[in-house]
Amino acid sequence: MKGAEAPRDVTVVVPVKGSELEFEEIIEAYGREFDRRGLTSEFVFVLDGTPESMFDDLARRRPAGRSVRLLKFNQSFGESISLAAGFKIARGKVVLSLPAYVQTDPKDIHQVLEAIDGGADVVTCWRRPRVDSILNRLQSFIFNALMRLLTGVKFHDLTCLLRAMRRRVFEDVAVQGDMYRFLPVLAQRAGYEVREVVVRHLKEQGRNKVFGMGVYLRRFLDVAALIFLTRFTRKPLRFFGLAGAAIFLIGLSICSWLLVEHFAYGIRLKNQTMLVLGVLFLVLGVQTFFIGLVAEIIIFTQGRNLKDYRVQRIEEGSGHFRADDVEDAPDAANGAQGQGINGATPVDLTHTGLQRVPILNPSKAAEPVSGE
Amino acid sequence: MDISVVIPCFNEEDSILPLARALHGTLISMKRSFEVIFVDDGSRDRTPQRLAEILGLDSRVRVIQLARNCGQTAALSAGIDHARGQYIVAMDADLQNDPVDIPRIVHELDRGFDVVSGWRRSRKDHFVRRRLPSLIANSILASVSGVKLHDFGCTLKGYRNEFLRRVPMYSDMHRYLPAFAASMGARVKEVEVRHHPRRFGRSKYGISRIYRVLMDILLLQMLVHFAFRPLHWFGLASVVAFWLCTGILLVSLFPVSDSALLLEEFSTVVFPSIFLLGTYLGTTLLSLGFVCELANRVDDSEMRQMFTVRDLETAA
Repeated sequence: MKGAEAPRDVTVVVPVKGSELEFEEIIEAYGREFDRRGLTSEFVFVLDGTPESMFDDLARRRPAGRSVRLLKFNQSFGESISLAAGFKIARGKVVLSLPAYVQTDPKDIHQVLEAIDGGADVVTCWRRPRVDSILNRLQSFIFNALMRLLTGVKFHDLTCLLRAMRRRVFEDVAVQGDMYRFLPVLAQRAGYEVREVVVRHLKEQGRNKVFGMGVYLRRFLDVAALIFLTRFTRKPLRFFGLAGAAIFLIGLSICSWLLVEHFAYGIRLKNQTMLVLGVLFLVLGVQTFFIGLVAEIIIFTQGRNLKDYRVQRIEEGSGHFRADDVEDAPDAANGAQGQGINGATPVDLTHTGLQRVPILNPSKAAEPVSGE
Repeated sequence: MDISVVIPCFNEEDSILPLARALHGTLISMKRSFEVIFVDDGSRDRTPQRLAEILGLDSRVRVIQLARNCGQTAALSAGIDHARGQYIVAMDADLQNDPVDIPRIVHELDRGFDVVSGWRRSRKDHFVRRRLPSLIANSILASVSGVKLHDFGCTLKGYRNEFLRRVPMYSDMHRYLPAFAASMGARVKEVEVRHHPRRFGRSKYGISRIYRVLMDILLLQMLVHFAFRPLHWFGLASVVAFWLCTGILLVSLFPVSDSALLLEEFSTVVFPSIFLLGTYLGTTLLSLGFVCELANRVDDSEMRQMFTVRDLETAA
């Protein structure tokens, strides 16, 4: 249909870990739904620490008539890095991430794509009802409820890998380490429109286990980093100052209590081990505050280099507006109808490329012209 | 180019065409070279289409389309970064500001002021919900910053471009620009401007921001003095900590009187613990000061010099 390097409508990125992969099933099931919508698509499989033979095996099994690309890591880097690598080589205007097996009903992809057409930048999916084990569901429920509580966003299923986003989102929103699962939170925070759609859960593979302490600890640190990133990057002292003040107050109350005990109850100060703790907290509080101040100073002095905005395109005007046009200009109501002002030729909106076009409609889709 | 007008727009589909028309009328009548920069801050209504219509009318219009909703300060700074004019006039797209006031702002800039801020003397907003909180916030801002303005919140403001280029624009900075500018040595002037009731759309400001505004401005004041000489201040704090420790150590080594029970106890337990932790704090602060000094070595000199540079130029 198009040349090999031509942009596609949709790129599907599948991170593959271990040897289990429903290769043909995924391509077949989702390819059919894309065909039904008349979309061009490509599939990118990122092999992350898979058996040696798998790459050649998949290359041989590549179905005819579908654009399938394989990407292989020499060692295992984990899901987020795999996805980032897949996104990097993606040629689609919209990118879909999928688990390595048909986890949800492929027909639900229409809902997802319609949400994108409806103006969403990111679509995250909520598997409901869940069909996996009660233990999995419980862990997942606690995690998501905690995330809703801590970050204040209203997503129900951040662990669902089925996700769609416009190109500009993953080019813009920095996802470090193991943070891909939090991308909807980060994207919404950055000002993108994120929607959640409910999809039908078909099956769940593996992962039916209680994770080790290390996993929980890492997850917790991720969440802590996320909260810091989303709330305090531009105002570090709000965080450190508050924490420092709290610690200082604890120290102050311990010390004053010890003094009260000394004078009122005659408990000798030299017998109080709590004294060291109290003074330590005082010092720690001051130190935390000053570290926040250092962070604040760095942000302040580097503030000119931090771009809080992202330009999608810049359009230069054309024509010449004359001063004597102003007097007999039609009023606001007329102008708002979309006519040109003062007999200037009405502007053909399809050529400006400025409107929020349904990006999946190839005839009108416009690629971003410039970005920083 | 003389004048760049920067207009951040977020969901302002109804206001844009009337605004552009009024704006062009005023600017053309001023007989100066100008450009108008609309920054679309990820609007979700028909604002982009309206802006596209305006683009076809005049070559002096530019539209910067942001990829997402970045917030007002960010949109403003996007416009400022792309502005080519000698003066930058920032205004809202909601038609509450009147372009007719622009010539007066430009006139004050011509007279040599660095920042010219609008004052909506007769505000057309709800008294309790909008005007009262802003009255309080403004008096706080004026007393803390020492800049006697009546209306920090007015978005219609004029700036000298070379000044704005050096201001760190992040978070809610656009609100504090005049106060910040004044503490950097800029000459700030206030002019009365017209204010119209909101015709289209709805207001995007919340009310209960006084606390945050106060904290921000206090911090900003501190940073202005602090940021350029961190080692000085951190060093001062650590010296205080060290002196305190040394004094306490001396007291505990040579107890003045052994009759005082309290002092004896302090000498054996309290003073040593304070001494140890105080020494630790002093050392830490000193090293933090060094870290800070290193971190902002880059932008430092430029920012400190900015007004001196301008004064030399005008004197020549």
